[in-house]
Amino acid sequence: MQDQISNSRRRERWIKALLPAAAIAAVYMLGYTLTLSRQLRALQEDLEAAMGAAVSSDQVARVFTDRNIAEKQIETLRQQIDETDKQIQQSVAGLVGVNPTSRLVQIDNLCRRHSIGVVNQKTTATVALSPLREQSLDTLREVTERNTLTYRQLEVVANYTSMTMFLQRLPQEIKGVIPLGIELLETEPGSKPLAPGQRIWRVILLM
Amino acid sequence: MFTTSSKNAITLLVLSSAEVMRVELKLGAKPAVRQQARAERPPRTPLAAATELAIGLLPQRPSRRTVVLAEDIWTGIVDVDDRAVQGLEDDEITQMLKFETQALSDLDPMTGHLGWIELAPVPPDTRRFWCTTVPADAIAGVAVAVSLRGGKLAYCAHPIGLGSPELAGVPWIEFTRTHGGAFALGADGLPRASLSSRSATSDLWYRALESNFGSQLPEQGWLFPSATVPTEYNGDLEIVEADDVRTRWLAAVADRLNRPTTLPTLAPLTPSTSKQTLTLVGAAALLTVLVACGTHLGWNLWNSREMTDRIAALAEPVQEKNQYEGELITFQNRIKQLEESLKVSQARQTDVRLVTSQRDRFAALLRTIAAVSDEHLVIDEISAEATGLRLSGRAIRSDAATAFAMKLTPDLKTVGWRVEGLDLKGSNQLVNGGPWDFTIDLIDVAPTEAKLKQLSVLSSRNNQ
Repeated sequence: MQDQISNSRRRERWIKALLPAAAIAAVYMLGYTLTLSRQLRALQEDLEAAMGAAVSSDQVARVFTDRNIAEKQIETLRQQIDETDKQIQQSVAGLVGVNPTSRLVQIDNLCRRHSIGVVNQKTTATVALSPLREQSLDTLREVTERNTLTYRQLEVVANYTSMTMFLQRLPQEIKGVIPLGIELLETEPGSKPLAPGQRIWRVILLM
Repeated sequence: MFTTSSKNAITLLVLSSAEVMRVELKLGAKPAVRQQARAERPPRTPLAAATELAIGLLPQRPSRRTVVLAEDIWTGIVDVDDRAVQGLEDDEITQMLKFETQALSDLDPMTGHLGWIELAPVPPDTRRFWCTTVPADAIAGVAVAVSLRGGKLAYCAHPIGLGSPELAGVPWIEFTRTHGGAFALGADGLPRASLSSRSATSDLWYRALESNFGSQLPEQGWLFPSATVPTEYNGDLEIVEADDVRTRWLAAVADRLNRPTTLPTLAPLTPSTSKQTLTLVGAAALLTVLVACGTHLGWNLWNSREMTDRIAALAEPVQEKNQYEGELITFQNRIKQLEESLKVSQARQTDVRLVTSQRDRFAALLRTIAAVSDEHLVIDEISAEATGLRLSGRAIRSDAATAFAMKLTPDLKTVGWRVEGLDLKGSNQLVNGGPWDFTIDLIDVAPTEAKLKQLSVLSSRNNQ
């Protein structure tokens, strides 16, 4: 009787036997299609994007080199700035920390040595200078952290040579004193006559 | 013992009630009989034993395509109403024909094995089938007998209706001891056949043969040994007894066996698969699917991990480059700031230097005036102006002031004055229009680099 089983029945038995395998395969394929396959597709797209945006080690090395050059340049600039600031500080070092009275004494001594007679002297807060010198003084004021600079105006009687020597020696001998201006005044009519070669000079000093 | 291994080789075992014959045939475009042997079949020899007897006629193993033609197999025509078989599958038609042939073959439909082909229908509504049936155990015995001798049973069939004597497709008739049959293999459509079991007592079988064929019976055909020619038949028959006729019949058979679909054949039954086998196959399939799914999953996970790693590996230099580029941009901005700061510092340094260096510039001015002035002019006044200094004086020659100004220019330039604005005005007290009052403006500028040569000149003049 076993041999008489029809083809359809035989087919059914085979289908039944293979059904679990087919079902598992179908479930797996479904699960694969819904999950892993999508993930793989997304990963593939990411990979293609990553490959498109990939950079070579040469490019990285080039950027790294540029970065290092920039870093060294920063260091160099810092050193230059420090050096410049140091030089500025050295330049103005003589202008600060000296007693103004002792400078006045030194100026008087220098005048006496060069036979220069001091007619008037006074301290002023402002002087009329060219814009270039004004800007320099502003910077100086800023660098020395002094809100105001003291100017000393001297009116002296001296001959030309003495005045030249005075102006030559003044900055050499008295540190922190800088001549800012000089005027050769005309003798006013009716004023006391001066000795031959003598003239009235007005000198502006930065103290 | 050897076997015929050619694809076209076929072993034909012809089993009649009186004798058994084994023929080795070569099929193909030109079928040929390669070997044949005959022997008497003992009375009441079962089909399987007769098969074994026929195989033993030649020493070599039977072919892997062994065909058994046995008169023991029942064959006949069955007419069925068209509506009874309409829409049925082949399996269902087989089942139905088993029951239809039961009365004629006396075989149990449950144990019989049946093969059939459909013949040309009989108008208006009858479908005709040529059936062959044999007990299942008999064909199983034949298959075992063939396989025991190293061959393989292709199928069994009844020997009637196997080949036209003309080999050209013309209709033919055959008479055996038990059957009469008329056949026509049309080029198109279904074949035609009429079969009748012979009766010794009446000629009804012959009339049935004639009427079922649907036309006049063919006038040529085969007459097999121990068969008689019906008295009503007037055609020309070849008696399949002499060797040459037998060989021609075998050639016709070989030609027909090239087209077995036009014969009702009985293929050996394939034993149905046991439950255990099905379970094993199912389990194996399940295991295979699980392994395949697991392998596929593992491969995909590996692939996924591989892609993730590659993405990370590709992204690493990009991140590194981005980081360096970010730092580079920061550094470049810092460089700009520092360059600005440096400019400010340098400007500040320049400003400070302008005040702190060349503090003897006024001494240099007086020295230069003294050095370049001559007896033709005198400086009366030096006054402070918004842009610098103004020299005022008098000259007794008109070109003296100009020469004085020209001589002042290079030396004063090094200590921060530009000479310009020479104004000259004659007082017309002398015959040449002089003396002249003049003014020279000294504009404050940044000093150019002092030239040692000039300074030395100035020093030497000063010493003089």
